Amino acid sequence: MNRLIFTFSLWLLAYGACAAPWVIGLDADLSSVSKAGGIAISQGAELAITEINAKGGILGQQVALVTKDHRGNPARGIANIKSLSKNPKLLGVIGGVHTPVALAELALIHEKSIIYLDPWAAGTPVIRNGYQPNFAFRLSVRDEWAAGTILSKAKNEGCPSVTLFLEQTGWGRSNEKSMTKASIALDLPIKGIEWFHWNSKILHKLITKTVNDGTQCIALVANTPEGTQIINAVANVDKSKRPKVFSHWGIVGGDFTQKVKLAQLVKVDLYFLNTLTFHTPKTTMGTLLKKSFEKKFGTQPAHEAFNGVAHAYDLVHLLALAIEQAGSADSAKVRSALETLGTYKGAMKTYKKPFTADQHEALDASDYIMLKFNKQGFSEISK
Amino acid sequence: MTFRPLWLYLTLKVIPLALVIFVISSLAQFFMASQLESTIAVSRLQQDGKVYAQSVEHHFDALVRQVESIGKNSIITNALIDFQGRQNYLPLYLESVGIFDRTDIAIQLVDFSGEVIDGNYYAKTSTLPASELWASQVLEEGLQWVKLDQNGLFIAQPILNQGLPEGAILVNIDLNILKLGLDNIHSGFNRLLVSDNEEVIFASSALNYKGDTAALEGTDLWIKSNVETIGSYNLTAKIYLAKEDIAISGSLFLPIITLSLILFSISISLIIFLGVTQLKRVVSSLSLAIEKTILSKDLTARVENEGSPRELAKLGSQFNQMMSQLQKTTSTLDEIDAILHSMRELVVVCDSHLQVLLSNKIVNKSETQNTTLAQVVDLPTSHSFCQNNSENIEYEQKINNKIILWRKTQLILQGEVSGWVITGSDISDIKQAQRQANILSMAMDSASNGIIIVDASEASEPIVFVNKSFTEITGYTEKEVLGLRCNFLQGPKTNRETRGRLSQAIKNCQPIEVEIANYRKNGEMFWNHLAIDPVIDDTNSVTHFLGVIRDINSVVAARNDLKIAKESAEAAAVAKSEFLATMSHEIRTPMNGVIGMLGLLLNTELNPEQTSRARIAQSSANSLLVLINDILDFSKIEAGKLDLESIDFNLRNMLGEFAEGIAYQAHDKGLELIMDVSGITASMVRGDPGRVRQILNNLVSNAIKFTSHGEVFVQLRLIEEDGRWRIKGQVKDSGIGIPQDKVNHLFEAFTQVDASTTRRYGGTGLGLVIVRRLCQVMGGDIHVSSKLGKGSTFEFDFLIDHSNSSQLVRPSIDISKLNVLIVDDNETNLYVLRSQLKIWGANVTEACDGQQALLICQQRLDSPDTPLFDIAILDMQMPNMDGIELGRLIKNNEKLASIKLVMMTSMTYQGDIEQLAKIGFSAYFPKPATTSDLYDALNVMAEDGIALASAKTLVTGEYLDSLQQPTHSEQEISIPSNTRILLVDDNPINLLVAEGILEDFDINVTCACNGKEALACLAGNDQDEAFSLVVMDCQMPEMDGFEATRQIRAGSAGIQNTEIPIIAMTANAMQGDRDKCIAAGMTDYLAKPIVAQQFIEKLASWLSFRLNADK
Repeated sequence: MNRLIFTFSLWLLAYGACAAPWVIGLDADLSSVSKAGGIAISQGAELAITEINAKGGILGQQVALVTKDHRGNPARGIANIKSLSKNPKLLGVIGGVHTPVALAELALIHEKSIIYLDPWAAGTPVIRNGYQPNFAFRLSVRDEWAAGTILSKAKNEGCPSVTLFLEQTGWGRSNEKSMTKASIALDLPIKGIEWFHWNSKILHKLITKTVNDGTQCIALVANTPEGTQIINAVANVDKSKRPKVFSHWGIVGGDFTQKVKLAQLVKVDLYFLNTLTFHTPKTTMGTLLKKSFEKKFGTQPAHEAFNGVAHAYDLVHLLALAIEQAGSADSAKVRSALETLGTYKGAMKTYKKPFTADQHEALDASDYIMLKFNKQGFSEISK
Repeated sequence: MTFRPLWLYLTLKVIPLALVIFVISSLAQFFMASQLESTIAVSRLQQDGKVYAQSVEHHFDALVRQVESIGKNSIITNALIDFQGRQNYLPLYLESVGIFDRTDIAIQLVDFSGEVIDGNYYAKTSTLPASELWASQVLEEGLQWVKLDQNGLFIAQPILNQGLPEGAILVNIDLNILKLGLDNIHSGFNRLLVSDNEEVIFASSALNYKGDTAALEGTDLWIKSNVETIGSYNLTAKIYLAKEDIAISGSLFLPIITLSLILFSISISLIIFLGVTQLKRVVSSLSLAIEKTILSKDLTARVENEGSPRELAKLGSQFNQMMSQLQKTTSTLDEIDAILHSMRELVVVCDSHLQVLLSNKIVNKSETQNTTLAQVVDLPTSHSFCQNNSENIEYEQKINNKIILWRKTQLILQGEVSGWVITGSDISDIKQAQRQANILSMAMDSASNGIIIVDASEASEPIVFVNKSFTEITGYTEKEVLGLRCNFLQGPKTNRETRGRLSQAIKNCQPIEVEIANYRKNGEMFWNHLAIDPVIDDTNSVTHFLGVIRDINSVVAARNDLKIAKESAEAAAVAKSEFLATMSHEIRTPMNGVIGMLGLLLNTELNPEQTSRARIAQSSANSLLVLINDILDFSKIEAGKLDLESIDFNLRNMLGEFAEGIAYQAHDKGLELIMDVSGITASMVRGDPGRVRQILNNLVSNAIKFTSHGEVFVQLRLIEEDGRWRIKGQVKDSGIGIPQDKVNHLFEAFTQVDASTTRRYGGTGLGLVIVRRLCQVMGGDIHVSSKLGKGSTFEFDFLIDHSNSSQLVRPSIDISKLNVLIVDDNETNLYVLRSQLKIWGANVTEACDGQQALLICQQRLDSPDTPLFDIAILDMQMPNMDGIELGRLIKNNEKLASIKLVMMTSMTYQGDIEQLAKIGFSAYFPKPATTSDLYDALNVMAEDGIALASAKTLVTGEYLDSLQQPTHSEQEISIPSNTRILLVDDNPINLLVAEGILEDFDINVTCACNGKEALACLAGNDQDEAFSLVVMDCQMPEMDGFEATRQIRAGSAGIQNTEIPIIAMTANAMQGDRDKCIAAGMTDYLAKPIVAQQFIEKLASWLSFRLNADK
């Protein structure tokens, strides 16, 4: 709420005399389990909006970012979308880390015809949602394809089979499907599936059990709190039996490296999915983004959620381009314009055609990479 | 009359009273016992009431905890998040979850806004409290909400995720279910639980409670416990006890009371018996003592009071006192007599007729009878002292040398005058002391210093004496000051610190001397030199302070004048040095422009005349720079700011280079320059090579300057001294010499031998001053001896340090097997060559001209025992047959042709080197011979390998250099082609000069005018076009070079530039500038004016360094 007031007062200072500005909504977890991811997304959006405003805004009007905190709770997310949808100047809503929240919001989003931009949540049904026309666009990982990247890394690292550790939510279930599919394609058998609840207290027991059952490799779909417990439990397993972990990126949405002690972290062979690392930008725009990020938010030794910054940054720029192309902020026209954008040089990659009518995914499996933590606890690309 | 014995008397008096007390206390005990039993019963009831209330609270707490645990269950948390999947498990969970094994309890799950997500059957059929009551506390603050009333117990439990409320579990337990549990708590009592709203939560059936508490308590059937409040559930608890259940009986206490009464009686009897016995003992002791006194008249008898009661002890001590008084009276008269005789003074007691009644031992006792006072004091009876009146009560009697002072006092007994007491004391010593004091007082009054004495025994420290001079100095009279505290002379200008010291010294009783501003009576201030000494008596305590004061106004005034004069002189000296230093800087800056531009000019296409003029201008500018450097050095010396470097350097190489440089000057004048460095036994040393070179340069240049023909001989030796090297050197010339009377002034600034010398030879006259100072700073000195017209010898020495990398130079070829012939007409030269070669162990043969050399060779050929020479070293200029001719003759002789020839030439020899090669010379090097040249040449020739074969024509110094290190042209190539340099200077001429030099080497240059621009340039560049190095002026407007460097290092110009090499370029050649540059973060330092070669070498060294580091 404070952030909201702050953003608005900034706007009042700058454009007090002009008409009300465009609004881009941000609906993400900014204070709970995945606040690091949520804050990264808001920073990326803020950097893009600053650039857009400096060049005269969208359709000649300035843009403001209005942030709402859903704390990872779908019920709050729905309430946030309701509140944002009342603003007639709303251009679109940027989502957060959590797939369950995004899934819960889809009905309302389509009822109100709101452009929904997904910079992080990876659940396949967020985009393959059955709505026609589809107002959800993603510039992030898709579980369906991520499973291939994660499991082929496991195969390359010599895993005979994998045991899946999945959270008991829409995201977990979405991964169950995609991992199963990928395992068949890669001929890497799934040894078993362990489901767990948020806030579960028995994760270390699950690990002990599966290790005793002979599990050598774990494929993990979890957010930071449960991920922290699981990695700690794996680190405590005797070295000779300690399984390798191949994780979806949910674990780095929170302050993962601060919660898992470095001494524990280095013990585990942990590989996790991402689209980039802070220190190795993929494009010139990426280098510039890193520079302007550090200029605005200070230099940092590492940034494990920087994918959130880059995804949101590119998404906001793509949205602005689409609106300019449509010549209107009408969501139906903007939606069509997004599907017909041309080549764009972004911070993540150069997008040939970011979205099409059939394809609302800006990234594909070729953009996914597997990372690993180095001795200092900073992520680097695992070759 | 008959008396009862004591015990019987007391018993009869005490027993009746004791009986009365006995009866009363028995009755009281019976009464108290019955009260006690009733009180115990009630307090037990209160205790049970408390325990009951606690048990009820624990029971409810347990219920609440069960609900809490449901709220923490991960299924519940997950259900909040798992929007789609929760219908699969949430209803089942809510139906099955129980509290205390009862599932017939309403349970409901709500989301963050209080919207119901799901609930069990009972929740759907029962009414729960409205959400307005609990929503804000539970869903916003995350706190539990509990309510107990006739509907039962309602608990709203927040569900926390990461500490934040995201929903709630609502539970309602029906009152009937609650009552089942409450019935089991304290079931043995009659219990009542009422809510704050007077709603009955629970009541035992025995109470037959109808909801009216007043009615229940109105009957006297019940005793009730206190009301116990169960705050957390807004509840009160009570327990009731039927009155008939409390039975009172005193039977338990009867035997205890009887027994205690019997014990009471026994103890009373015992007390009386013991009391009587004790009393009897004391009274008997008293009567015994009295009896003893009466019988024996012994006054020492006393009563023993130990252990007696107070009253009897008082009686005893009164008796004892009476006895002591009696004893004292009898001894007083004897004591008075004894005291009188033990007195030192004479005492005579007379009656009113002045007849002696009593006198002490000094007056003859036998004479006491009928002796009058007049007789005792040896006076006529008519003398007033001997009359019976108080007219004259003192009289001084002189006996022999003694003076006795008699005093007469009336003797008054019982209020009446009954005679006289006359005392006589010897006052001879006092009289003597009075006389001496008078003499001292006179002396003090005639002293010229003021003297003041203060009584230290009194707290106010009053003045007790001042002399005449004191009154003259201060203007106060004696009367005015006596009794005053001595600080009255102080006033407004008196130094506070001095005051403090004074009072501290007086407090500690220590002597002190100060100069203090004091005031005369007329208000005039004067400087007082005050000395205070404590006067100490036999007991080591201070009785007085003696102060001596002196008016030092004139002394202080003189001293102040002197101080002002000194300060102004020092300021003038500093100003002069600073002026010189500033001037030098000011001159150096434009000089940089001049020299730089001339250098550039010479690199352009010029016609011969222009070239010649430019060269002359350049040479003049260089001379001027030397002069300015001298002045700067001198001003540094004057300002005491001469700093020395301490770096490892190769002394031999340095001397070699020096010799080559200076040799031009000598040979230009046709002088022979001879360097003897055979005494330099170590090549690597540690010290300031620039200063060593400066010393040599000054001395040798001087020698050359003042010598028109002959030779200049330079000799240097290293001598070990306490772990360091002492360099001893001499520079000897055959020049004009110095007159004896001028020798002493030679090392003074701006001094030359005479004005005509200055006119003829030029120079500032600073060189020798600088040399001397340098020698002294390096722990040595310089001396000169000279003969007018014959030449001068300067002998100097200074210290340098060992270098860790120090080593003796030994040829890698075994030179000891070599046979060397040296040919030179100059004896000194021969001596030097021979010494050096012999150090290396070669067999040396000398010849003083060509003829002799040929003769020696022939002799060797004739005698097969002696080997032929391997190498011959020939001088170029020799009388009769020069070196070329001799060489040709040797080479033309088949038998001698194997001798390798070395030509020694003067630097001015511009002959054809190829001609020398044609004749058959193998090597040639310039005079004076340097160790490294000689050594290297011998090695190359003796080895006779590729190195010799590769020499194009001859082995030369340059060729030898090329074998060891790449030439400068190769270094230039090592500057990478993409090198970009940022040049920062506010002076456009300097920028032009530096830019010109750099462009010659094809280096890409960007210019900035101050620190701010430099930062902007650096920050604005991409990685592809990054700068390799920064050349930075120090003094610039806007932002100077120091600040700019600091900011670059701090990252203000981008992270990529924080470690970029920065070379300072400044005209500030004063001491500390280099340190200041390095401290600011600069990498290296270059003094203006910029010399192209130095500049480019410095760049090359840093750029190649950078290049290597990158690799």
